[in-house]
Amino acid sequence: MGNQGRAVRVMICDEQIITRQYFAKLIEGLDRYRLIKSADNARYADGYCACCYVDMLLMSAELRSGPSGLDVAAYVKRKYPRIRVVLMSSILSAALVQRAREIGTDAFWYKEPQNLPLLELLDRVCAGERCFPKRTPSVMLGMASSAELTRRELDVLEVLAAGRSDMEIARELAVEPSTVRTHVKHLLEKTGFVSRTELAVRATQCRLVNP
Amino acid sequence: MPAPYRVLVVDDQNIARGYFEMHVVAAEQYDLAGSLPSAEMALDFCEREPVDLILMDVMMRHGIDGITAAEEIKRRFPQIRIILTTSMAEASWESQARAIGVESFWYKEYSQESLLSIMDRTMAGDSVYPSDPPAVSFGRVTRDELTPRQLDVLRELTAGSTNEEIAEKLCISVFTVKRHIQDLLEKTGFDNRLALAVNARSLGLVVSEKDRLS
Repeated sequence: MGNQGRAVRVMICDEQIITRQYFAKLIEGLDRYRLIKSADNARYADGYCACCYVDMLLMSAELRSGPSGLDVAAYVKRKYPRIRVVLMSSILSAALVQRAREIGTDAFWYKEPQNLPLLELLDRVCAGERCFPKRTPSVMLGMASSAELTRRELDVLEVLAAGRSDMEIARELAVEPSTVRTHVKHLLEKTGFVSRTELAVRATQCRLVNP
Repeated sequence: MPAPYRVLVVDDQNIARGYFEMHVVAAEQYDLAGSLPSAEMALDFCEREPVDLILMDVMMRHGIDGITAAEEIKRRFPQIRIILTTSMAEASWESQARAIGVESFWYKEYSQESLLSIMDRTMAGDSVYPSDPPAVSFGRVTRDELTPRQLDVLRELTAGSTNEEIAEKLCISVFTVKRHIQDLLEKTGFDNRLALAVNARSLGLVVSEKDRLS
C-alpha cells in the first residue's frame, strides 16, 4: 500500500446483501479503492489473500456460514501481516472489540452507531493508523442499560444466548454452576424479564449478543 | 422529461439509509427529498414538504414502527406511494401492508427484483409484492418445511411467552403447543426452546407483534 497511483484492492465478506452493495456503491468511482471480491462468507478469503489480490479485507464478525469472521481475520493477519484487516459488527460488544485488537486486526467498525464514517476509517487504516472505537455504545435491555451490566454478566448472557445450559455455561466460563445461576438471577432482576428465553431473545434483538 | 419524483427515505440504520440514498441520487427519475431515522420525523416531514414516494423500514428502534406509520401516512396523505422494506424474513407483514393500502413490499436481503425496478413499477401504478415468502434456512430446514402453525408458535416463543400464554393466544391446547415445539426442535436440530427462539429472532424469521410495536 502507499504506492502512488495503485488502487487499494479490497475484499469484503459480509452476510448482508445491503452492506455489500452499500460498500460497492460507496467506493464505486473512487480511484483509490477497487472492490475485487464481495462474498457472504469467508471460505475463499485465504485463496484471494494468497494470490496477492487483496490489500484490505473487510470482515463481518457475524457471518452465517463457513468459518467465523474472527477466525479468518486472525489467520489472515498471522499469515499475511501486510494485509489490512477491518473487522465490522452490528453487535455492541466491548469483548468483541478487545478480541479484534488481540488478534491483530487494524481496525474495528461498529455498523450502528458508526464509530467513524466507513470511508474515513478505511482511509486512516490505509495511512497506517489503527482505529478502534473508544467506547461501546450502551443500549437498553428491558429496564437496565447495558452499561449497568458487569463484564461477567455480559459473558454469561453471550453463552446463554447460544442456547447453553447452566452446566455448559459454567464449564465454558470456568466458574461454578451456582455462580452462573446467580448471574442469571441478577440479569433477570436488573432487566425485569420473566424468563431466560425472554432475556436471551431481547439481548439478541438489541444487538448485545449474537447466537 | 417530467420533473423527478420526490423520494423520502425512512430507516433507523445508517447502512440501509446510505444504500437507499445512493440509489435514489443515482437515478435521474428520482430526487432525494429527505432521509430520516424515524417514522415520527417522516410524518412531520410530509406535513411540510411534497413527497411522491416513501421508502420505509418496518422495524425501527425508536418510536413507532413502519407499518403503524404507513397506515397514518395513507390516512393523511393518500396520494403518497409507499414501499415498505425490511431486512427480516418475517412474511406476515405483507398482508398487513396490503390491508392498509401500502403499494409495494421489498425484502432487503431476499428480493429477486432490484429496488429501482420496484420503485419504477410502483410509480407506474403497479403494486409489487413478492410472489413467495423469503426462502431462509433455519437450523436444518428452510421456512417452507415449517407449517404456518409452527411459525405461529415460534413467533410467540420469541416474545418469551410460556406454553400456557402461547396456547391462550393461538386458541389451542397446551398439549398442542408442546407438540409443535417438539416438532420444531426435531426438524431444526436446535437443542432447546431458548435456542429456537433466539435463532428465529436473530434471523428475523418471525417477529412477534409485541416486538414490532415496542
